[in-house]
Amino acid sequence: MSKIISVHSFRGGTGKSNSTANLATLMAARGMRVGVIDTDIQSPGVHVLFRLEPDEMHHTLNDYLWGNCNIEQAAHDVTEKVGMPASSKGRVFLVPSSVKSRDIVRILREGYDMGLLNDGFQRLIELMKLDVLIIDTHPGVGEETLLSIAMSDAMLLILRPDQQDFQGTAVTVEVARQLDIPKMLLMVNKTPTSYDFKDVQKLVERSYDCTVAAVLPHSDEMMTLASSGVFVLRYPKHTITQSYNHVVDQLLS
Amino acid sequence: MNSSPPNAGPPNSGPEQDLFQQLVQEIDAWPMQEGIRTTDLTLLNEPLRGVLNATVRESFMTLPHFAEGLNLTLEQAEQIVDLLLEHGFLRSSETGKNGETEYRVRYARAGRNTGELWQRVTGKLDDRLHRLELNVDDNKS
Repeated sequence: MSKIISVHSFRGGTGKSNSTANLATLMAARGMRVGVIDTDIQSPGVHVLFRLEPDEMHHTLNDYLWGNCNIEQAAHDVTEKVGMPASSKGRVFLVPSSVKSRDIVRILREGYDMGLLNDGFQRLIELMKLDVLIIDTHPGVGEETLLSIAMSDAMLLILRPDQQDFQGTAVTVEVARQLDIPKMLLMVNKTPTSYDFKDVQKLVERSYDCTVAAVLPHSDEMMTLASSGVFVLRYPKHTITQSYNHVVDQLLS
Repeated sequence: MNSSPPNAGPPNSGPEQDLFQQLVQEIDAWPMQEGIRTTDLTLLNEPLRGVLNATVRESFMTLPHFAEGLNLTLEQAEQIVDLLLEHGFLRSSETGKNGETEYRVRYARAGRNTGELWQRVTGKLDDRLHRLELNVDDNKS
């Protein structure tokens, strides 16, 4: 049975796209066929982590929403680009959003048929024989983002230990509950290493009545990598990689 | 689809009838619209919200699913589904594998802002970007 997982945060800069790329890669490393859709149409970025250059995007999510192609035509196999062997059983397929300024403006101006998103997700799962489809969402609480959450079997909500994130996350948790999302996990990211991680986990779990899948530290290695690759492949034995693996276990359980 | 099934109507009293009436009132309070937004779902009451959320997640529902989810008889569920179709919450789609009609959520078109000012701003931006692209092409050739 395929799973749809949305990765979301209330505010930008929490490491949402980075986490999406790392989780997708770890799932593929376990032999799964993983699809990633960048529904952050206004500020796309996850393609950078998968090292997909704009001129290599033969079709994008925008093209699909405008009826210029089928959703599977916008899926790019990025398994080898990300650094996994060609012989790997697990695969990662990315449906990027266009980074062309005119395309972004056009989407903002004309809008699109949201039903196509739902149909496209289902079609992609079926045709690409996906085990998991991960949706990288636009931060905040917008219509398309809520639809992505509503369609998901599980949601990973990322926050930083920051008062603004805390308040915004409370809003998102409440809305997600109204949408009856079957599984909701929180992940605290970029936590200062001086903090007691167990205390952070307890505080967040108590505040939202929701499981914290992991508390990840602020990492110089991650910052230095600067989205030029996927962390878990570059640092397979790092504690952050172990934590991401733990998140995968919980998302798939 | 018939809005008044001829053979078996809803019972005239009891909790089922109360729930049925409550659902009719709730749906009737919504305007006729061309599709719904996800935020609309969060404003609905149970059990309607739960059933429509499940329809989003499962892609579609059949009439027996609606009857089960709403805890109504098939006939009552059919009337509720008709109302949901009428108000633009649902669309009926191609016949399912077992010959049953499938019902899907009808989504409103996504758009940030459709006001005149917004259209003018994005229109100008689009023109400028188009001209910039043409200049780039000219320079290349």
